[in-house]
Amino acid sequence: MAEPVLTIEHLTKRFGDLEVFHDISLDIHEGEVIVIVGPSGCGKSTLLRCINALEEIQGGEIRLRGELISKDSKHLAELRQKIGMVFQNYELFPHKTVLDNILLAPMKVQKRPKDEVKEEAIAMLARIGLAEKADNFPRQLSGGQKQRVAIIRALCMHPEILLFDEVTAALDPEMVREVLEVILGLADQGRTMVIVTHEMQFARAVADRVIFLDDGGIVEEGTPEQFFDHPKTERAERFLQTFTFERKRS
Amino acid sequence: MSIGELLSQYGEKYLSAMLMTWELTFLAFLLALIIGIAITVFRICPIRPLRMAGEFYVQIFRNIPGAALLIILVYALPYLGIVWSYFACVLIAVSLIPSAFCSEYLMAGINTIQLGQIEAARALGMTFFQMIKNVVLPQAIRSSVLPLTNLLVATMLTTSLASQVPLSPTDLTGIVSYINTRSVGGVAAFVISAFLYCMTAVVIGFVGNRIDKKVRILR
Repeated sequence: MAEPVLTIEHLTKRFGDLEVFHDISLDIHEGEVIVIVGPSGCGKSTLLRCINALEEIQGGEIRLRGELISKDSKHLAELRQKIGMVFQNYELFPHKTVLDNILLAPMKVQKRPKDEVKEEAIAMLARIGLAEKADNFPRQLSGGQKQRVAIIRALCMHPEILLFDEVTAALDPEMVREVLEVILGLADQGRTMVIVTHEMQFARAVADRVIFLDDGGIVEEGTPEQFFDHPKTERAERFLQTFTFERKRS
Repeated sequence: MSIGELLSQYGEKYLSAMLMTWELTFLAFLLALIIGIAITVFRICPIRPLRMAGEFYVQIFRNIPGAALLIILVYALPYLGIVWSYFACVLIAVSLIPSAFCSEYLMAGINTIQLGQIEAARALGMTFFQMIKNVVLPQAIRSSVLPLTNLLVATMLTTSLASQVPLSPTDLTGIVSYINTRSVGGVAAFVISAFLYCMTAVVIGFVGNRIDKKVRILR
C-alpha cells in the first residue's frame, strides 16, 4: 500500500488535567474518506483541530506526508496550506465579498496570479450554482450558501486533505442537504477527507471508514456497513441507538 | 474690538492660523494612526517582550499631560543635545498622545473579531503578518471609525498646545494671545477661533459618520 497522506501516532491531548484522548493512532490514505463519530464531548472536533495544529498536543505526533505538524514547526503555515479546513460556523471574512474570501489566501499566501485563481473560483462557484453571489457579502447569504462558499475557499488552496468540523451543525435542516451533496461530490472526485459529523445517514453514505471515538480513544473502526449494521462493541451499539426512535405502546 | 474689526485687521492671520491648525491636525493624526497601528500589532503579537513594550507605551502616553510632554520636548531634550524645531516638538507631542488612544480604540475593535476568524486565517496558512494585514486590521479599523473620528477632533483640540511655543505662523489658539497682546481683542478674538474649531469639528464629524456607514461591517 502507498504511503499514507496523514499519519497520527500515539496522539495524546489534554486540556489542563482533563485528558481528551490518549494514544490515538490513525493512518489516512490518499483518496480515503474518514468519518469520525462519537458522543458529544468525546473529542472529535479536538482531534480534527489537532491535525492542523489549532490545538497543541501533549504527546505523539502527526505527520503530513512525513512532515511533522506541530506548533513549533517552522513550516507550519506552509503545511496548513495543504490542509483545508471547514468550520461549523463558516468563518467567512465578513468584510470581504464571496469572491474575495475565496481569492484572499491563494493570492496573498500562495502568491498565485489573480486571473488564474479568479477563473478557478468562478468555475467552482458556478458548479454549485452560486456564481451570481460572487460579489455579495457573506451576510447576504443563507447558512447553506455560506458553508458551500467556505468549502470552495478551502478547495481553492488545492489542499491534499480536507477537514470538515461538524459543518452542518449550525444549519437549518433544509440546508443541510445542499452542503452534504457538495461533500459527497468531493468524495466522488477522490478527495482525501476527514469528516466529523452527527449526520449518521450521511456518514454511512460518504465514509470509506468510520471511526468511533469515545472515552479518549478509538473504540471501533470499520467500513460503514460493519459499523452501522454490526457494531462490535456495546458502546457503539448504545451510541447508534440514540439515533433511532421507538414509542412503547401498550 | 468687534468681530468685524478683528476680521478686517487680522483676517489674514486668522486664515494662516487656521491652516496651521489644520496642518498640525492632519499630520499629527496621520502619525498617530501609523504609530497606533504599529503599537497595536506589538500588543497582539506572539512575542511577549514586544507585547509588554506596547502596553508600556500606551500606559505612558495615555497618561501624560500634553503640556508636560511638550515641555519635555522643548526644554529638557536640548540638555541631551537634541534640539528640534518648535513645529517638530508640537507635532511630536500631539501625535504621541493620540497614538496611545488610537491603539486603545483598535484593541477594542480587535476584541469584536471572533476567535474563529483567526483560526480560519491560520487554517488557510496565513502567517502572523498576513493575518494581521488581511483579516485583523481591516475589521478592527472598520469597527473603530467613530472612535477614531472623535480622536481626530481631540487631536485638533490638542494642537492648541502650539500656542505655548513661538510658532510662525501660529495656530488658532496662538492667534488669540497674539491679538490680545497687541490690542484689546477680548472675548471676541477667541470667539472667532472657537467658531473655526467648531466648524472644523462639525465637518470631521459629518465625514466620519459617512465613512462609518459605508465601511461598517454588518455581520
